[in-house]
Amino acid sequence: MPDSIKISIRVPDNLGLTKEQITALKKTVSVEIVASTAPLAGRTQQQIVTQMVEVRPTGG
Amino acid sequence: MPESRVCLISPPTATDLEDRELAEIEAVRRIAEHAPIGILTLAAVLEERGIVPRIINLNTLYYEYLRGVETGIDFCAFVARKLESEPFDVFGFGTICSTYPLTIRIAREVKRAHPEAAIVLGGPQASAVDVQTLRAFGFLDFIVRGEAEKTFPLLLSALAGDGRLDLIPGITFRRRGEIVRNPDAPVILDLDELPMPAFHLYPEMKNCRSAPLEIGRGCPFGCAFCSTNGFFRRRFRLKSPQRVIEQMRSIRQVYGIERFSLIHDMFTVDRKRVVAFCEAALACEEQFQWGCSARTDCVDEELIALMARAGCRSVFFGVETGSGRLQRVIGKNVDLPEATRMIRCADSHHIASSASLITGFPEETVEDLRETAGFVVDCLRFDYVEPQLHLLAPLAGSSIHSQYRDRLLLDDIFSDMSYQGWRQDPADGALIASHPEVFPNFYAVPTPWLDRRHVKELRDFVLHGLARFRWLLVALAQHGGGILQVFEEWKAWRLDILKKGFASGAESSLYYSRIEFRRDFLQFVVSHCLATMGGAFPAVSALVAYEASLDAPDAPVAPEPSGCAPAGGLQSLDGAPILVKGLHVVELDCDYKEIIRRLREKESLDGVPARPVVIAIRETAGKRLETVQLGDLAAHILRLCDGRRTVAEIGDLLSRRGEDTAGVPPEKACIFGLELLRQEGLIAT
Repeated sequence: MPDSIKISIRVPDNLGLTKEQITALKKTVSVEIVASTAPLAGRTQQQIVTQMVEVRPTGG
Repeated sequence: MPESRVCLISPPTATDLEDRELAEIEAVRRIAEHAPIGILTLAAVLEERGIVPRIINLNTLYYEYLRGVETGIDFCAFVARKLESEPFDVFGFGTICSTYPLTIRIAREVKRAHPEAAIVLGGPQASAVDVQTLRAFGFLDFIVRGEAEKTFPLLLSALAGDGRLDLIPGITFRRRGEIVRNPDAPVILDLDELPMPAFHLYPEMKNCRSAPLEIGRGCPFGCAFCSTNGFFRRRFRLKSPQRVIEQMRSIRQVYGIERFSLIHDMFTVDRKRVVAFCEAALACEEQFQWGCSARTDCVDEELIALMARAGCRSVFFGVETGSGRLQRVIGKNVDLPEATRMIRCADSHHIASSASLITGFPEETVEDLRETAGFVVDCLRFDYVEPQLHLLAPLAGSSIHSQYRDRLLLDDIFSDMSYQGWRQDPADGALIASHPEVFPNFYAVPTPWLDRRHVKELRDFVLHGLARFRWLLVALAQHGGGILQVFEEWKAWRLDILKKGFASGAESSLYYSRIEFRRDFLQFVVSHCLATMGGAFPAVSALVAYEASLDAPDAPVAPEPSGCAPAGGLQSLDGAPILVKGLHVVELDCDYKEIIRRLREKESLDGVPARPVVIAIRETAGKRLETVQLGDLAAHILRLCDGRRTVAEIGDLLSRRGEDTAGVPPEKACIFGLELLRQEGLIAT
C-alpha cells in the first residue's frame, strides 16, 4: 500500500505564502491515498467478464 | 523438404463467451488478442525450412462469427466454411484443455471439408491424451506430443514422402487401424536456437498492447495437480538474457510494444539466471515492462526488488492452498508464512501479483478449506495483490488425474480451468460425457469431506465479493469468525429470508456476477451482521455506507467537465472548477483511512474514531481505483467545486463561513487548496 502521498504542490509564486503558512495549510488541505486497487489485475477471464456486467466502480 | 501447404490453427480462448456484448468488453478483447505464441514459434521454424504456413487465430474468427449476420450455423461450421476453398495439405491445431472439445469439433468439420488433408493436433492437451483422442475420434490423423519445433517439420517431410512415420519421435498416429505411439522426442535443450515467433504472420499484432514471449520451458517441481510435467518433462531451461532482450527490442521496434508476458511455468527457479536477466534488462537503453510466474520460495526480498527495478510489473504466484497440511499432500510444499512475506514484498514494490489458490482437492477437509479461504482474504489486505480461487480440475497428465481417473464425477460444476463461460455448449457437453478419458478436466475428483456445490458457491461468493466490496469482506471475515463463517451465515440468511437457492452451478455463477448479489449482500450485512460487530460497529457501518453510496441513484458521480485542467495551474480567479469526470465523493461517519490501516495490519476495528470524513474514488491513468481521504479544508473546497462557482466565489464563501484556513487568508488558502485538488486530479477548471 502506498504511504500517504507527499504533498509536493507547486504553490503559485504570487500567493506570497511563508514556509510556515504552507506547512500549516498542508495539514488541513490534504489528499491522502488510502487504497489503490486494480479491478482487472490478475483476474481470470470469468472474473473479468462477470465483474464487467456492472460497470460502476466498486470496492475501495 | 518438399513443400506442403500448411495451416496452423491456434487454440481458442474467447469462445466461452457466447454473449457478443460480453465478448466485446475491452478486458476480454485484451485476452482474446494475445498472440498465439506456440503456433507462431512453430510457424517461424517452418519458415526457416521454406514453408510459410497460414495462421488462423480462432479468437479472431470467433469475433467475426459473433458480429456476423449468418444465423443457423454454429461456430465449427463457420470455421470450416472459412477454410473450405483453401487447398491445404495439413491442418495443425494447437490445443488446450478448456477448449479441447471445441477444437475437436472444428477439426471434424475441417476434415469433412478437406478429406484428403492431414489433421494434426499438438499442444498440451493433445499431448496428454494422445492415444485416447485418436481412439475416440477417427477423423484425426496425427498427434505431435510435447515440444513440436523439431517433430512437426519431420512429420511434414514424411507426409510429403520424405521419411518414415515410425521413425519420427514424439508422434502418435494411426496405421492400418492400430494406434502407434512412437517414443518421446528429446526436449530442445538450447532454446536460443529457436527463431523469433512469426509475429509478422499475425495481423492482429499491430493492435496488441502487450506481447507474450517465451523465456524458457520446464518446471522441475512435481505438483500433483499440474499437467505440464509430461509436456516439458521437468527439464528447466531458459533462453539467454541476450536473446530475450534482443527479441523484446525487436518487437518494440516493429510493433511499438513495451510490455511483455514472459512465458515460463516457473521463471525464478535459478536465481542467478533471473539476476542475469534483470541486469541485462537494466543495462539496455530501452525500458521494458514484463510479468512472469514464480514460486514464493524461489524469490526473496532482494530479488523481488531487483526484478521491480528491471521492469517487472506483475507476477503470478501459485500458492495453491492455504493449508500447510495440504501443501505437503499435493507436493507443493510452499511455506505459507514465507509466501505471505513474498507477496507483501511484491506489493511494496507495486508489482501486481496474482496469488492463485485451488480448492476441491480430494484430501481437502473443511479446515483446509477454511485456511485457503483465509489466505484469500489475507491477500486482499495488499493493494497490488489479486487472489484467485479455482476449483480443482483433474488435468490429464497430472498425478491427481492418474490417481482418480476411475472415480471421476461429471456434474454441472465445472472448474474455471476448464470452462469460463456460464453455459456449457450442449455439443461440447455431449463429447465430454462420452469421453471422460479425453476430457477429464471437465470432471471432478471425489471430495469426501467437502460438498462440491457448497465449494463452488463459496468460490463465486468470494471472487465476486472481493471484486465488489473488497474491504467490507475483509472486515466481516476479521470480525465475523472468518470468511467461511460469513459465507455460511449469508447462505442460510439468503435461503431463509430471500428464499433463494440454486438449481445449478451455472445459476449460482450468474447470480453472484450480478448487481443483485451486491444488493442482497449489503442487506444481509445490515440486517444480520452489524448487530454482532460490537466495538467494530461504527467502522463496519462506515464500510457499508461506503458501498451503499456507490449504489445510490443520486450517487455524486461528477459529470463531464466542460474543459480540461490546464497544465499550468489555475488560470484565473474567474475560472469555475468542477470535479473531474467519474470522481465519486462519499461522506462517512468514521475515519476511513484508519479503518483501512487497521485492516491491512489485521488490527481490531474496535474503537476506530467516529468523525465525519470525506473520501473520493477516482480511476487513475493506470486503470487503478484509488480511494483518497480529504483533509477538512480540502473536503470543504471540493464540495464547492460545482462548475458554476468561480475561484473567487469559492474563496469568498470560505471566508464568510469562517473555515479554518490555518491562519492563512481564505482566498490564498482557497487557491492553494484548489491547486492541490487540481494537481491531484480531483478537479478541473
